[in-house]
Amino acid sequence: MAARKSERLLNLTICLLATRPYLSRERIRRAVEGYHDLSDAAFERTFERDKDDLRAMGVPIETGTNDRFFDDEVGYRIARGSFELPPVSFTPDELSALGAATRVWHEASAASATASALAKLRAAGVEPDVTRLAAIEPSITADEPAFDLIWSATLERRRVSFGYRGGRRREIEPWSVTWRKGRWYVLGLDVAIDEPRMFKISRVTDVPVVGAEPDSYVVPADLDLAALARSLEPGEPDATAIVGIRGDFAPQLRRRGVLVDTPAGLPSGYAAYEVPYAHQGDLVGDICSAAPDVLPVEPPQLRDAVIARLRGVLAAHDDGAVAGA
Amino acid sequence: MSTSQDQVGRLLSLIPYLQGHPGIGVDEAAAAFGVSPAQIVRDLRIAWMCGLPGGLPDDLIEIDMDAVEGAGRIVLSNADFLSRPMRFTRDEVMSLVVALRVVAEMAAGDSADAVRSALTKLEALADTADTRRVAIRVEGGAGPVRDVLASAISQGVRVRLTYDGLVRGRTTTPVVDPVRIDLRDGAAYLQAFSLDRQAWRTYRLDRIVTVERAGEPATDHGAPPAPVREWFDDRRGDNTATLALRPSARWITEYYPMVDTPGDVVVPDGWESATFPVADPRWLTSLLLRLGDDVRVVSPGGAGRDAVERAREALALLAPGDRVHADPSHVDPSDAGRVG
Repeated sequence: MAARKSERLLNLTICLLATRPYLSRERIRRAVEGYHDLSDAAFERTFERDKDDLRAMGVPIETGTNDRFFDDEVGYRIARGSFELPPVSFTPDELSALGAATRVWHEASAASATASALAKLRAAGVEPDVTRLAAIEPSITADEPAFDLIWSATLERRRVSFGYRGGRRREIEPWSVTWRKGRWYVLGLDVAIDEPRMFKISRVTDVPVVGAEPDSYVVPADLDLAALARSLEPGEPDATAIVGIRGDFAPQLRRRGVLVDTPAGLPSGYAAYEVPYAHQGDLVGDICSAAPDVLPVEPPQLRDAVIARLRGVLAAHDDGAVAGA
Repeated sequence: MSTSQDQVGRLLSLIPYLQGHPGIGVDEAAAAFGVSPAQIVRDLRIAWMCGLPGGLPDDLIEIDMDAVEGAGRIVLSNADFLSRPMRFTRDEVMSLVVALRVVAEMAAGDSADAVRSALTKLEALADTADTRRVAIRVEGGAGPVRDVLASAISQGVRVRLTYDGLVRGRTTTPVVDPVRIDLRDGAAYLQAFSLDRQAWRTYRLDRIVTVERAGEPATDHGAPPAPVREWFDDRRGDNTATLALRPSARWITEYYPMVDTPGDVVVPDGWESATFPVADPRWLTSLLLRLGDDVRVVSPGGAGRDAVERAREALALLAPGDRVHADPSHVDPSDAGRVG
């Protein structure tokens, strides 16, 4: 059955490519062998499904009439210019880049989309070179279960709704997807509040429901992805703290800061750094995680917060203390 | 996508491909399309039955099926109506563009220029409104670091790094023989043989502060470990820690890779349990210190000991009056060998 269907779809494609005028359903039925043995109703059903299948694959089937002045019957054709891949050629170095690109995706459906894109390039005479650039091993993962559906909904501009951890159910018009630090985010118009919002795809709690209509909304032309990506960052530092760092420890904090005069009271072996920060909570975490190689000096409330958190460590894990007290 | 859609999609590329490669081997065509040789033969049997409307022998695609089955060679003709592949779908071109953008973030020097020009050509084949809609951010370190590493790798040269270690939490200057740059969880890592450690090590590129040639050639250390795709593949051994988390600490479940939590773990109301692979106990210690009172160790018992010890040392310096510090019964002699 599958073989007969493949045969019919391929013959239908060739038939519609070979015609210049639009072909009526009746002409198509006579021309494509796979339709010969079907009843009227079965032909209508099968032809509709075949058309949908080919369009889903990206085959640009046009609908129209041959004579604008008469009420002619609707017909179908594929315009060669919109079907064929335009001419394209690559230098040897660019072919190496394409060769490295073949290895990037480790997510099933994007990997197979990449493979079929490369198959089309090969069919156009472009042969990616996989032997060079072997010293880099780029890879993208997408292990978020909801990734696939949200990725394709975004590219096809379909509305999508999903459960979201720690909040209400969302319905969005997805505008773009972003990958950073190995995680995927989707930005879109949150329909309920009519404002753009960013969602972390790993926080989607169920199988997203994707709208039936492709191209069902317009993405703002002035969409500034770089600015939106910055909104994911911790924010610009607007305060500074003085911390003491022992020797060559805590490099992340050390390189963020500038060496300043060592204040009295810092134990020997520690140097003082002025460190900019955006959120005190994050800095407290950074300091505590490196304790006692990093010690807070000022402001006093930072010092107090670090002391409180370190006492929390004792409360949580010291067998001599009462857990949860 | 259904089997027929897959097959027809492939045939629309395979038919022009075979016309451009007359006499190509079945195996070679199968490799180019990422399918089995048997699948290529099944595809050819479909193509053989297809052609222009009319159904006369002259209308059909010609394939010498005897040569296919015998010598394993494919000669396909009489298919001028399918001489070019189809345009890219949005999904295809975006997947490939995104893949190239990642390569661009990792490549160095001349090859980086070639990646960018290939990208420009591909983007011209896509709708520009679409290509803006996927953004990729790779932590690839500084360009000059990548340039030096790339040329050292291709010329087989030993280098000295200034490296801000993450787990060890200090800066070191290892001498290494670099072999490859991997990408994991959005960050680039150098795979190299450490002369000091006499073992393969990975170094995050954005923590390599400087790299300089050590003035001697690299030596052969055999094959490096296979590239790891997930951060936790690299965690050696199967040590894990199961933690109970308050809601305010739940972010770590999105930040670090996890493994399945044993089924019988019970946590207080409103808390959540999570199990993490632990290659280096220092990682767990710094996590427990960061989270303060928002986390409990469910198992293994005693995993919080180092964190307690370090917190106590810090409190002794910050708040010398603390009663907790003064109690000598809290000092555990087994901690004496702790690695700082």
